Amino acid sequence: MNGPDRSSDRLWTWFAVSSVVFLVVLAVSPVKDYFREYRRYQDGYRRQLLATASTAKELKAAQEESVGIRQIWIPAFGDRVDRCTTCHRGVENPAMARAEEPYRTHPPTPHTPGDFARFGCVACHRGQGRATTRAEAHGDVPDWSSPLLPLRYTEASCGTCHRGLVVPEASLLSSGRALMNRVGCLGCHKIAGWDDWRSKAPDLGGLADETHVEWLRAWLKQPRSLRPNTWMPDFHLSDDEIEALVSFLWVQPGTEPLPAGDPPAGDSDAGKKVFRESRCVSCHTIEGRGNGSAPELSGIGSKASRRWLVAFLTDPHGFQPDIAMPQYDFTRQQVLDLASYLSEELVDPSAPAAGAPFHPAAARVAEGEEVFVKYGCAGCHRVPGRKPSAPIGPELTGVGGKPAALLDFGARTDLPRRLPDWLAAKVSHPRSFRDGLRMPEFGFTPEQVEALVTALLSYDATEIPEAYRVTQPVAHYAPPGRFGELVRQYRCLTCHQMQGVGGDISTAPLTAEGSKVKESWLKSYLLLPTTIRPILTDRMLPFGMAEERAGFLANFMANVFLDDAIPGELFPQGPPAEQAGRGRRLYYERYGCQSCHQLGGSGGYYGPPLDDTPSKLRSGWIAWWLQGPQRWRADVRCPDFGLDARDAEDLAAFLVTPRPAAAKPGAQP
Amino acid sequence: MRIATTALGLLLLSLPVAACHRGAAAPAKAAQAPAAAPAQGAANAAGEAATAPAAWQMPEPDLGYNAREGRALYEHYCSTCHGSEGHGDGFNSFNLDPKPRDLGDPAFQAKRTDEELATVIRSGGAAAGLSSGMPPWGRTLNARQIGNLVAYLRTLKPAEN
Repeated sequence: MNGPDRSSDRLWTWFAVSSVVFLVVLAVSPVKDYFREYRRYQDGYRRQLLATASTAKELKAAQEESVGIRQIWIPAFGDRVDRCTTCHRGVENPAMARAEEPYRTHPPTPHTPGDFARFGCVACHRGQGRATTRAEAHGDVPDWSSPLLPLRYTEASCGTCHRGLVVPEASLLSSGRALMNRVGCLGCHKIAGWDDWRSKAPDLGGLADETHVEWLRAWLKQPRSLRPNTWMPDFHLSDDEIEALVSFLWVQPGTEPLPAGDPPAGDSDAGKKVFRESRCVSCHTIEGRGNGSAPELSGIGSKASRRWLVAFLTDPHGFQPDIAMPQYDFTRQQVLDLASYLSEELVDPSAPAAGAPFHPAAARVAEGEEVFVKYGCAGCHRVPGRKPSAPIGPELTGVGGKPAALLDFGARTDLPRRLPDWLAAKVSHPRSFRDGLRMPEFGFTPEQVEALVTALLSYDATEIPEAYRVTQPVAHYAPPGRFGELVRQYRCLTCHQMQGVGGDISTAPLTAEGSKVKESWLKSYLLLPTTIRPILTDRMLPFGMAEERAGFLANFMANVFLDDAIPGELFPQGPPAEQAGRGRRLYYERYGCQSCHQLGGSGGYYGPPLDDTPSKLRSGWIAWWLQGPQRWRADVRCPDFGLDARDAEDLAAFLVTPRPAAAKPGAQP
Repeated sequence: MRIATTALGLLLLSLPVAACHRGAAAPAKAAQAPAAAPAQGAANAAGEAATAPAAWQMPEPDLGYNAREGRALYEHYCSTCHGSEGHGDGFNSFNLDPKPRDLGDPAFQAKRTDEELATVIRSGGAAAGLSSGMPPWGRTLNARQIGNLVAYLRTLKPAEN
């Protein structure tokens, strides 16, 4: 009678097995959860908190540290969900400044620790915000669509929202964008947002008038062999291509024909004096010394003919309409002397000498045009009478977010399959990817490569909500009438800013110049600029302008470039002696102004000398400036001392009090 | 018999769980392996660099973001007096009495805490009983900038002579 027993046994077995199955199935989820990677990190963080807790409050916080996924959810920023803080527990805890990763405090930046909730983590560091394992979040596997950005390039992410050329807190990004602006990437590659870019390369007409063919051949062969600091890249042209290109360029006419006949001789020594007094090195370099915004001149005599130099110096804007160089009011003799100095003294002994006259064959000219088009020369150089052509390289909009799988690594099997490494190799050795590529070599230093890669990575395709975009307002100002004509002739806007337009070589914007300086001083300064900042190589140029012109310019600025917020004359009856005396003590004893300013024969040369203040500056402006030197330009070096109005006015009274020591020799005592 | 069956059942059932766990671990390993591969590839390439001129690697940056911002600020505001390398020999130091010190001097670096350096930058030399020739920068630079400036000062090396 085992039957019922056996069946009940079987039933028991089945019951046992199914119970176990049920329990095990129930256990799967908690077990999986128990083994999650982030638990390990969170346990570690809790242990560190407990070990370092020194107050009861810290101990309580450590004990309350619970296990679970943490996330920053930003509905306003594309509904981002960043779970990085699940493991990076200490980013907002200042006590973790010296902890090992992943617990270390985030280093201070303009957006941290204040803006975690606004930006999250992925907006700057990239990677997969929703992932909760290290490998998936960092995505440091080849061909992953959005891997973590290497730390050295993080500034690229500043540039996805900050679209302007200069981002003050991101120096690497800013120098990368400045390089892009300067070296001519945009000549071949379109990038959205750079539509206003203009090349600074010279126009290529009338070369047969300007130089000799041997020089042009050597230049095209290897530009840096003639000018080590030139931005003209090396296209690695074959001799055949060079011959064709030279032939094509040789027959392109200039904007203006050269006046017939050889100009009269000049005096090289007198020309040297003109060269020095005109402060040409404010922009040009001589053997690398100088500001460097204009070409090296040490070999100019081996390149340019004297006949061309004379014509060019007489009318630079006729030959190069878009050039940044001002037109000086040289006399004819000064031009002749200067041209003699440049062509006789500034010669490069290693440059090739002029050979026989060159008469290119028509067939070669046609071949040369093909070379000119093939390498996209017109991207940077205008040829008078020729239509500008479309950029020849691929568009780079969105290049900073390209998945590595879409990149052509070609022959570069040595490279890690990551976008930053690809970009770095591309800008360093563009021709190493495969044969037949046209991108030239620029010979960038590793620092320049790092800056360029940072800038290129900033052009990714991420959609940035309007509220997050930071664009630099584009100012439009065209100086009017005769003032405008003179501003264009002297190219004031190459260095100075007016109403938000212009270059930043000069530290002082001219926008409120009338409220700042006295008209009589401005006129005499335009006639003969004195050195205001001895530490700078780039100084105001003496244009040799006629007195009437200087008077007109000074009068215009004194009446138009005014800021109503700046008080006028503070002391119509002259500065009171008592106030000036107090200002004197503040100057020397309280604020140490003599550290940087020269006054009465002593002091520093960091800021402008102050001896001529009584005849130069308006007292209201001095007091206004002292109460906030960074008001017009954020990078003004004079520190903000936090002066109140009284101290500022006392200092102004002291500075505008005429000093006997500063009196002109021969003046009445 | 009953015990044996239960044990067998447990064993059989635990297999999928173990497999499940192993299954979770396996992709992680698979994901890590290729990550290591390019590093090896790069190392090989670096080994061949002598023969192949194309092989090239970016040198490691010398400074991180914070010290780099500090360096940019130092060069803009400080180097005119303190010198490009921090040796107190900047263009304007010749007009100063007392002269700026050598900031790279290890004895000086050891003596001053980060907070002390930050205080002098923020409030000027006079605040620390030093020369008022060093102006206060606390209204011109913010706390982060001053912190980064200190971070950069810590990277300065002593003068050679």
